[in-house]
Amino acid sequence: MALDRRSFLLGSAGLALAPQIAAAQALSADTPELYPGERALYAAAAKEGMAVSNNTGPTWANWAALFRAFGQRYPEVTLVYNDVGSGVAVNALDRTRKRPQIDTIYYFGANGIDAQKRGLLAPFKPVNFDRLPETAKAPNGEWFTIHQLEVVFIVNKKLVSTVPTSWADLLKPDFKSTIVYLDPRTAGVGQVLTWAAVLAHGGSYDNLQPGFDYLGELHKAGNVLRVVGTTPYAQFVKGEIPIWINYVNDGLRAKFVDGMGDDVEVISPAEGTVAAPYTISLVKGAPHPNAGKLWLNFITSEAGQRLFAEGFVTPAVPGVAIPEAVQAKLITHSKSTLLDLEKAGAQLQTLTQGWAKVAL
Amino acid sequence: MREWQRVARLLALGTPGAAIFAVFFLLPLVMVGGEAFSDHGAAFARLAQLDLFWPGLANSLLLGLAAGAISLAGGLMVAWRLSQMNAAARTALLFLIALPLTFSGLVVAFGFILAFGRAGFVTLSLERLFGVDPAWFASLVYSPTGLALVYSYYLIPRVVMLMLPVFANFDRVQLAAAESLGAGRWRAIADVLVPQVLPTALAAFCLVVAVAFGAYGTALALVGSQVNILPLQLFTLVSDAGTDFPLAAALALVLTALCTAAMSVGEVVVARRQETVDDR
Repeated sequence: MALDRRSFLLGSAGLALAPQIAAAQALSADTPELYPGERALYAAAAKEGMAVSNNTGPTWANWAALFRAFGQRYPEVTLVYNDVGSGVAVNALDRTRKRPQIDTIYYFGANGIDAQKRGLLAPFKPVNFDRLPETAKAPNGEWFTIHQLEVVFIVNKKLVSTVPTSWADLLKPDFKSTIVYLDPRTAGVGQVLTWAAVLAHGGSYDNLQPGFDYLGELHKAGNVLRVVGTTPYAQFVKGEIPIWINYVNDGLRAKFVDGMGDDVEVISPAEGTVAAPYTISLVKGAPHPNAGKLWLNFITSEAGQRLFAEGFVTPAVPGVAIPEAVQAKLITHSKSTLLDLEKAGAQLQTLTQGWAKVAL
Repeated sequence: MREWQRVARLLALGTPGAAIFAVFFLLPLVMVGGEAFSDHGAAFARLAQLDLFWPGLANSLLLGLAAGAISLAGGLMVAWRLSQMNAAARTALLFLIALPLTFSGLVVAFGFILAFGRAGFVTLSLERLFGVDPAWFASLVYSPTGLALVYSYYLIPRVVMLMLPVFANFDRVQLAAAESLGAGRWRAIADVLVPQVLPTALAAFCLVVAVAFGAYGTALALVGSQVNILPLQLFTLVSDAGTDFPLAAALALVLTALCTAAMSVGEVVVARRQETVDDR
């Protein structure tokens, strides 16, 4: 009874919104389907009433735009989301594995592999699954890549006199007390930039020492201003951070969306960089499986992938048409390699411990 | 019948508090304890061998004591001055002083960044007026020193709240009496005022040390995870790269135990004083 009333309330809330946004592209009897079977899946999802999308923070990777578009297309499915961090998300799911409260879980790719090993995921092949490269997905679809993010230097030109273009540049005395980056122990991006430093300096997935040596030198030179535990986006926009080693989308967002304009330069380091795959999964025992599938299909559809590109996030599905206005704002990456999730995941402890030795 | 009513009333008044205590303190503590001892105490051995643990403990103690000392000194002065004011002025000022208590640690940290950070109002004003290097000045607020000062910002009000009643109830005639009997000014203060103030001051000090020792939101937002203090170590253990949960639980227990110990020192001091007052 309580459940019925809840779904009734959610349903009526959706209906109340429907007339305003019907003009957008709400899926109705006469709208063309994004993919075969969309209408039937929507009907099943509408009965469930909601989808719980775990770890998709609205300010991250343009998720807010996808939430909006999903809400317009599927007014009868309420999307609920939160933002907890990849590692925490997997651990929380593990704790509640007997009765999960979430339908989909999004994370840095290595955490997806971890979640699969722990048996927390359900196989599901969404729209465009076949178009993804083999390395970007689990064979049965327990996880699949939806976008990737490259490590770059985001430079506030008001705070530094010259702009560094390579990892080697960052060691120069010009950049004393200027560099901020995220702690590999607390954030995926911290691990990815450590891998970028490893691979840019002749290291490999079995030999991380060159990267540790480089970061150690950077700290010893006094060029690292701070290592932070959470994404300092607001601090960067406020002008607190001269150089931020971070994912490209935050830099382009500061430049084009949050008004920093030409004060910001986004640089792909000359020696090369690494792109991190971000993956998503359907949860085993999800409380709203059809709504979860509807959400996943939307994310991997051309429409969903294009929305990532509009937030300066590289879509995972090859050949997605990106609007020219967006294309013009993107930067070219000198030498960008996709992080090998399996190999990187196996070295997680080595990486965080080795980093702590040289950086703390 | 009356006895029954008394018991019922006690139960009715006590149950909500007890339930909240059980659900939000005892239950989590038991669960964390279970996790910490899940490998028969080996987690504590790993913790003791952790490269960062002992320096982190030392830094946390130093930070707690430094922030506690600054806050106590500041709080005592403010409370003393307030106690000399008339009631209206005191109420108005108390309202302002209590305001920081309502802010979350993150808000306070961001406020300090907006004022004293590299692009902060104060920093830029100092640069314009006196040519102070903004990079140097901003490095202060992002350092452990800055952290101790930011902690004082919301610890001083706690000290003031605890000390004000003591000062307000202090009868200044006692000082005059001591002086008229031949004691010097400082002798009178040491023998008459200090004994009455000391127990509460110690209790306040213990409380603020415990708060500074366990706080993490402000530290995370302000200095980042590079400053090695125990609450931030705990944060890194349960973040993205965290896999050793017994270890994290063991550290959580150690933190809880140390904070509780600091608080209980304060409570014991106050209880002692209460006894001596009752004995009189």
